[in-house]
Amino acid sequence: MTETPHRPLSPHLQVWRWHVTMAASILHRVSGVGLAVGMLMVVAWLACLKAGPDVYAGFAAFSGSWFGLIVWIGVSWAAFYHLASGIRHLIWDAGVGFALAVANAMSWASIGFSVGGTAVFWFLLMRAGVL
Amino acid sequence: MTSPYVKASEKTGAWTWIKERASALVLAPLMLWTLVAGATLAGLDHAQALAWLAQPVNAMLVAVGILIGVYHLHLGLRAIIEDYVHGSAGKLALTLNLLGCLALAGTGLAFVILIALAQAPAGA
Repeated sequence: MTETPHRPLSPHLQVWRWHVTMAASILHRVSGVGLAVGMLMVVAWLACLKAGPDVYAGFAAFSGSWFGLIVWIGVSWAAFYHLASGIRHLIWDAGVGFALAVANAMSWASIGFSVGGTAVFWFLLMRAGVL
Repeated sequence: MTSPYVKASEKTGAWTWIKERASALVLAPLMLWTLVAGATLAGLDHAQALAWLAQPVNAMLVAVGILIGVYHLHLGLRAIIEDYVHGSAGKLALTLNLLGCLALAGTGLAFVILIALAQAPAGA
């Protein structure tokens, strides 16, 4: 009773209850930066396409390597997430969906769509024999 | 200008807001197309990929996607920089963001045009 316990300083990240809308907002920025990587990859793809078959084969080999696959899977997730989360924002911009339950549901839906979409996308690529 | 550091949102916030949404509305369907295009291109060799880009609709959508995508990217990165990087470092970051995005869009568009010109049939 005599010792005062270490109390958290406020405001401090650890004392905030984690909201799904907060996570979805952070992920929107993370996926936006991920799509910057994606845009760099698209321009690199164009450069390799212009450079000729040998360079292009190198780009394809990189894309198929384990590191390249991590990059592309990450970029595809960012695409699915930023798309869904962006539509979520456009719905809010229209002035609807602000009820807590609806806002939470749209945030969970964005996360679910991004994970599911990425999984289906790569499953279809694998089934098509591309990988 | 009295304040040494003014966010874009404090000067032209409404217009920036509209630019973000307008580009997003164009990019949403384009992103779906990009995912399909990416899945299509994943299994193609150099000649097949060139043939894909030789179709005018594909070249056009790649060009539009780069242009509006990088524009939207610049707006998004600017918002992040303005939130987290302040002072002279922030100003430098904003300048690098603009120059980097201009270079990225310019390079991408240049390659689309160069590839199209190289593939154009003789006499066309």
